[in-house]
Amino acid sequence: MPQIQIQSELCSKSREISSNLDWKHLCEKLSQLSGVLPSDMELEFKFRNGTSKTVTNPSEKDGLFVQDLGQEPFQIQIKDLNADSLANQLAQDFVRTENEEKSSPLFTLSEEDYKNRMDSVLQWKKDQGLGSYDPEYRAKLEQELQRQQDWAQRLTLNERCSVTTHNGNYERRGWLRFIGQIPAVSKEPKLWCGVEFDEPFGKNDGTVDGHVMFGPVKPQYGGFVTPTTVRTSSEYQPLDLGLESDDDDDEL
Amino acid sequence: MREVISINVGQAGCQIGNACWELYSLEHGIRPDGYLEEGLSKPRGGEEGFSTFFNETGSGKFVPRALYVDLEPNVIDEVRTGPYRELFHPEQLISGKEDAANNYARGHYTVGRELLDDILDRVRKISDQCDGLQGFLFTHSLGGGTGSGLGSLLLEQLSIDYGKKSKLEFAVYPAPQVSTSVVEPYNTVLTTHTTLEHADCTFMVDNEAIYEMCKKNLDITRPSLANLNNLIAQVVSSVTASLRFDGSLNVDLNEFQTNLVPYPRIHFPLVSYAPILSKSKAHHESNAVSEITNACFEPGNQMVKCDPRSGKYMATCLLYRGDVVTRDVQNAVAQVKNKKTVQLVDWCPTGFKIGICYEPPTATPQSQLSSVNRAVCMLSNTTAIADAWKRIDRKFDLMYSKRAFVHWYVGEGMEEGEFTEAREDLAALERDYIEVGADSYADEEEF
Repeated sequence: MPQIQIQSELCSKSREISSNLDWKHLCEKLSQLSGVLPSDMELEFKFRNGTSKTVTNPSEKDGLFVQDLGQEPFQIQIKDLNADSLANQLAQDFVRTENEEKSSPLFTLSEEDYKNRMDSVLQWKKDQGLGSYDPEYRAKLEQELQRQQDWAQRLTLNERCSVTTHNGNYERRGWLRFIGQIPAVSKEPKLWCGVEFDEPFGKNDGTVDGHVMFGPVKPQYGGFVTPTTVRTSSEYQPLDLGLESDDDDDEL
Repeated sequence: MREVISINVGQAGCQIGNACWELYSLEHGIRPDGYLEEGLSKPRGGEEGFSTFFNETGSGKFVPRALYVDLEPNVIDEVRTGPYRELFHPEQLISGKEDAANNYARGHYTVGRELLDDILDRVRKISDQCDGLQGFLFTHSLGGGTGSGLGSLLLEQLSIDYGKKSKLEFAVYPAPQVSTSVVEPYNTVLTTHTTLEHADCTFMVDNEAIYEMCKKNLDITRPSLANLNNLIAQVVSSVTASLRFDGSLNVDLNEFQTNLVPYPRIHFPLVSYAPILSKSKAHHESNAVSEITNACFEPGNQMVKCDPRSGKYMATCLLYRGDVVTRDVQNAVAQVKNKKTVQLVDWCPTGFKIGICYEPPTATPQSQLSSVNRAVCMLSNTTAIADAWKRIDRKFDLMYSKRAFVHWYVGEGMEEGEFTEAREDLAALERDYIEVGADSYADEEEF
């Protein structure tokens, strides 16, 4: 039996289809794959000799489909003629949520329900005394938190700043625009510094999950870092990175 | 002595199974008819390792310890008539007459269940030929009706019949962009829920990721299913190499779980493989141990699309094969540990486990993959793989909020409550991954 490539808005699969199928059963099979109702279908068959044939209302036809077509197709394209059909609605939904960075979930498990589950990582951590359920580890976490808080107190908001993270290995400068907790990121009372960089060396525009923490500034000019990587002083003037030289030439 | 039974379920499972057994046969010097290649007096790779996957009959013929199961006859008929038809005992190939119509419920409750006794009977026969069965290796898809429905039914049953024997899965995860059927998200969520407590370790492969590897790394303009399956087989072969070949630093089937899975539910390691080189590129690469190790951290070498740089690692296994010396491996691992992009979960013991098998990989004649003298397969349990669950859960929600196609399942006798129960379980799984990544006091972070 030959492999036939079946294609619709929501599916793409090559599978074997018996040439002994009548139109009704062919449409049922295609419906299971594509979600398109047989009554909404229009089928386009493609053949090896380069020709193709479009069949409207295929589910109402009698007889065997291959016999009717005269040859075996290598591809069947399923069109959904009903604009409001379930398959069309789903196709639109899939595209829409793909484009939305963080679409709100349609299903959420409440914290309460998760806590009540016996078989979970949370329960395991509690039972075994791991992570924040380990007193020693907890002390380390709190010590680190304290260190960050102490450091943050010495920083001046809306002052020039210098940021040096190990990850980047280089110094970045800008304005310190935000000091505080960001519940959307860490449920622990962790402190973050929001920085408006002089150059597009950040990761966002000062917005986190739709909440504006500062700005918003231009995309990639904002970022959030750990307080101990930040120093503030009016001495931290913009670094000359030689990036502006092109503009100067233009003006001449 | 330490036998492993392979069970291939559904169209994708059986096709991957074909590619794997072709490769295993080549690697061990077994002809398609099950006899040794000319000039060999015993199979390549040492008898102990070899016997984990093959059974020797009295007449000098070798038979895979494998079972093929599909609800429709087509794919298995190809095995019955294909070049490897004499390798398998006809009883190892089980097919029904009526397909699962991409429906988990048909695979699990109605059509699939009718075959269950038959299948368990054959499994029993194969296991009777084993002295010390280690466990089972499953290949199936999560999105297809037979792979998801019957696959999970079998895993459940094997838990009952064989208790604590290890059960590992290679599972084809639905590709993010192209679905093979409209109800893939349902099947995936339902089967994952059912197998979560039965599978010890599940290695996922996403056809889209493999497709891109074939295009970018192997220069295949329009990769076919056979191209994809050949590449998947190469990965499966790497994972099983240390079981099949005698040698130092071997890994046992249950060791995958011991080393990679800190908590039973978190059992979906990300698989990466290197080098993936076409024959024309291979001559220009030195393919040093440090190079191939580093390549495993490139997104282009991952079997599932996700971003490990945004996640935390719980455990990592590096399985080398071929011409590899321990010192090079140690250096490469030290380098990896120093990578800034590799963040480890710091409240539970995490480890790097190394496996070395001195037998180099083999490329099948029709494969575009070049023969190389060494390769590495990395299995890493990273929280980044939760992205895969998020993606499929969201699609499930969009469909279920409209109750789209739910009647197909209810019509097969499935209760609608199973949908919500399964979805809740996967939501909890997503939460589990967040909980693993939480409580870090890493002194520097940025977003």
